[in-house]
Amino acid sequence: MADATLANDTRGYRGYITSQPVNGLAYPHKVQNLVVRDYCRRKGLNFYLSVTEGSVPGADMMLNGLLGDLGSLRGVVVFSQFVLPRKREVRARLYEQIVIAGCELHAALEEISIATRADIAAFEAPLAIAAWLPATPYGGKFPLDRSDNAVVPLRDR
Amino acid sequence: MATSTSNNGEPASDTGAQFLSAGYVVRPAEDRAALDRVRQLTAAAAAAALKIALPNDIGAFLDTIHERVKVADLNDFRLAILDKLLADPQFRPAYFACGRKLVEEVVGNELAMQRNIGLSVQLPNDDSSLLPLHSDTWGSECSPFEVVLWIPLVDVVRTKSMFLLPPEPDRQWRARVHEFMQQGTEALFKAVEPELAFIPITYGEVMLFTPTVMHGNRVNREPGTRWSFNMRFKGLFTPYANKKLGDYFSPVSVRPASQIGLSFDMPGSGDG
Repeated sequence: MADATLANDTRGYRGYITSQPVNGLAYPHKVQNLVVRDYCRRKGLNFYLSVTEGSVPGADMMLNGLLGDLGSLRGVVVFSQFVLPRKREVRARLYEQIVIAGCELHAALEEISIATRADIAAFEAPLAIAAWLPATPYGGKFPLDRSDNAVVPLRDR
Repeated sequence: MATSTSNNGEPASDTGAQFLSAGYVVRPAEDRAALDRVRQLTAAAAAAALKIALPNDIGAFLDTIHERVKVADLNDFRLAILDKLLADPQFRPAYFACGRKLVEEVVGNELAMQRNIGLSVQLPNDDSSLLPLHSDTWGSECSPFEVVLWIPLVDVVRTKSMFLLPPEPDRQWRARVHEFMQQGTEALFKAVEPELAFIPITYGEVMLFTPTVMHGNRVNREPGTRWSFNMRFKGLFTPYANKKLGDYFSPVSVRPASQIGLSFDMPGSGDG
């Protein structure tokens, strides 16, 4: 973000949106772009047009391409931290790549970011916990049957 | 049905039993200095939004804010305050400190806390910012495992406070909600009104309630302005609805055993 030593740095922050569901919900590209652009505006980040990941489950080709471009960027603004790779060790490598490049990683929906290694634990915590929620009661998700306007846990149907 | 025992047969605490039967508990703030800090930060943000110096009597300043803010400007005023509070790293820890043990007693000690802040400023006789009768869990956004820590910055009573339908009548009326689909929530309110409780709370106290029961507010007919915050908490590993971990909730307490479990890797298979 705005730093006196980087005042003359004209590099920007590349947006990253996806065509895959995000944490169980599908968001239109337009909505994702609105969230990313609004986040950049509020945080004073110089926004570069988003790249869009494909819809093949687990595809991360565009993300990997972005990581190859870090030298020309100040950072990456992903729509949500839940667009990042599912495997913890893959995310750890990604964080390391970004920090070593002197870049920042921002998640617009969650309004959380990594600028240094000290930020990684707080950024990673929701992802690590969410990964275990399917193994908790109700699969970590409150189930509703709304077919007749009733709100009925699946266990009671 | 209200019960004085937990479902594993152990005696529930007084707080737990009261929460189950009334749907809420009111307790003194656990850290009065933290509550005063919450109020001071809020009043300072309000004074900044009004471009005036912060008056000495913060309580009177907040209670009479309707003398300085017009209804038409109220939402912008409220949002300006929220912007300042969200940017202040002291605010959320101070808020949590006001009722941490209470939340832990009712919910558990591994918690997720709402990331944003809910602020209600209700001017006397203003009908522009009402929250009609509702239960948060009727929509798809909220999990019934959530609770709300509700903290007023002024004394609240009658319509200056919020109302709530206790769990037992809530259960009975919930089964009849379909009868009011055509008539709307005001008709439902009129039907349940005799059984509603407006909860009086003095500044210095906090309330924890379950938003699964019907609740809301009415036009504030008292002479002073209501200021109240609401913040949701839930067990970290309990089911989430669309208010999810990450964008809506953030973890505030993860115990060491969970930290180990979350990062545990099984032994490698040895094949590379």
